[in-house]
Amino acid sequence: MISQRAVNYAQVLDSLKLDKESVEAAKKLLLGCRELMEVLESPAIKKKEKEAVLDEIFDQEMSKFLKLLCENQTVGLFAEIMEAYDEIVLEHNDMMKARLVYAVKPEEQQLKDIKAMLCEKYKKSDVFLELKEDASLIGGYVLYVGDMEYNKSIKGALSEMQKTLIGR
Amino acid sequence: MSNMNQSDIISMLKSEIQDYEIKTTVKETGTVISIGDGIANVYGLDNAMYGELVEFETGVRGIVQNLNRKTVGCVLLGSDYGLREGSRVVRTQKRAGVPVSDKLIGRVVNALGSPIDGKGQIEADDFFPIENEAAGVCTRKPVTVPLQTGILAIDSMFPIGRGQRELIIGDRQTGKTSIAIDTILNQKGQEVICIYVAIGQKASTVAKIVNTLTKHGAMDYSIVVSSSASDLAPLQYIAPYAGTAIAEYFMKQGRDVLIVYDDLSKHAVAYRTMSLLLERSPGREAYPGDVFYLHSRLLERSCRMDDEYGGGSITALPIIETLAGDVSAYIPTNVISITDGQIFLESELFFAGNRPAVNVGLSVSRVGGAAQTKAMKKAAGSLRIDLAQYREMEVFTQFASDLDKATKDLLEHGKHLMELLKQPLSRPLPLHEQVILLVVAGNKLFNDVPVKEMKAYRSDLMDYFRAKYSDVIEEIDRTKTLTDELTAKIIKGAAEFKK
Repeated sequence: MISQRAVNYAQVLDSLKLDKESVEAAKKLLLGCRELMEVLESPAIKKKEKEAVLDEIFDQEMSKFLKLLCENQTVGLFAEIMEAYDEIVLEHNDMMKARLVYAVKPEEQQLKDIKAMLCEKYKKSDVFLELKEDASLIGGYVLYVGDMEYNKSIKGALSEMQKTLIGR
Repeated sequence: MSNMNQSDIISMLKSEIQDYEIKTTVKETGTVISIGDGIANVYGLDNAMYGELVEFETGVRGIVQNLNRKTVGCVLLGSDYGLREGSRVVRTQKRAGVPVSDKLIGRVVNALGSPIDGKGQIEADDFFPIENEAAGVCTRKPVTVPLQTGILAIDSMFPIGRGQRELIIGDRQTGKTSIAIDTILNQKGQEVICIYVAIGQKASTVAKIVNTLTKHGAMDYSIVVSSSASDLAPLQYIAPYAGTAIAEYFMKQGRDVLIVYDDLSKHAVAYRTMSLLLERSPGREAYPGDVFYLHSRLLERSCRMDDEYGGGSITALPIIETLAGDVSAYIPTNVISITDGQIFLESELFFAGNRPAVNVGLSVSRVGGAAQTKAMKKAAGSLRIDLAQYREMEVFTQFASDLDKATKDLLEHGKHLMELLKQPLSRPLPLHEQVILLVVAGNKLFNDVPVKEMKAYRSDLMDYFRAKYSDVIEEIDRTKTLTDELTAKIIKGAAEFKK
């Protein structure tokens, strides 16, 4: 779930026009190092000390942005901000994100077909497809695009059949 | 279904499964981010509409009530058991509604239209949304046809017309529900479908009412929609709208419907609960800002349709409970201003034995006058003024010996009128009886009867009229007018009876 606050910060980050590598590196470091996040979130550590750490690790622009988060006590939102930022970047590149959950991994051609279908339906040039296996689907797949769910799994079909039979 | 055997069911299931075609289902989904007190906040559902039904993964349904930028607030229409943060919610793309059909008549249903009387399923002919736009100005017709309540005090002074909204207001234990139930009982043979909507009532009270209606044969033309005190606030909130949706189904067939909302105070309280849990700002008495609209949009749906649009009608009798007779509280003033009049019941009158305890001074019917039958209008004559004068002079009764004859006569006449208006429960009076009694009382022919003997006297008088003057009764019922000859005949009959 992305809160509106996180979206606002992500828009600010996007407007800074930082290079992709610098943002990716910051994301990897902060989300991968719990201790660093704890230091930045901690109210017991002085602002100046936090700023010194940030200046030491990150480049100038990224450091400025993270200082702002520290000052507003919103470092905890960083993961959400990154998620929102990724969506904005995808949007800029005329791309979209989708998640495919399957019982048996589809073949390359099938994945290509799914991507082509999504590109055509949502008028995008490319699709970033996240793949996940879920054996409980029995067969078939479920495709999630934003709020939409395209269900062509055996599990889904059985649940629909159950609804039809009990008349709900 | 009941005469199917096991093998039939198995073969039916087999064929159903064999023929089942697996299709890709496309659904718009959201995720529960918080849930509690019958309210769920759902992330996603970007295209959800206000008032749309959504389905949670346990099968429980909810109604979208709050639309925020990233989330929607839903009220649950069932138990939240099994639902947690992360549960899936699916849009149904349907507005909340109730199944409707003629088979609802005689049944007791809940706020969702499902039967709760153990008499089996009700086959639906149609599905009506609970929230519906009220009829437009051009599709309506003025209220001109009376809806007899069978209660002398009301039919004579505050007549109700078909399509009118008349509020019944008063403290607890003043006979509000009794007036509504008596009105339903009086609709027997009048081609009126009656709907009683119980909101936040005790289940035992509703059972008692259903018993009364059944005992008097009123369930043959009545429907009870019950959302008792143990139901969730959202169900109590939708109950009157569901009742109105059922009423609209019958109105669209050109039939006349009487709907009783018992009571809208509890409805407002249920809505307040829901709104506060949805984190809407509280206003006066902690009610949300749109509590007026809550009742105005409900009562505006009661109307009389033009013949071109079916000619049906919905007459509404909303009930409001006041605290210590305070009609200037928030909800009472709101509903008073929405309705076309009110019947104000007073505890003092009730405990003095004047039942129905109608306060003549504070009660009014704004449109019913046009709907009153000519016979009743003529017979009621100066009844209201006489009673007002009596109430004014009543304080002087303790100085009885020092009063002049005119005042004494006025007090005596008033006492007899008050006695005449007393009416026991479940005993609605037919039009002819009301007219005859009013003519006799208006001509002061009751005044020399001791007040204590009035009850027996009027009963004997009516027996006499039924035996000797059946032509008068027949003419009043047929023509619904009161000619001078008819008046003279009634006076003659009453004088004869006195001898």
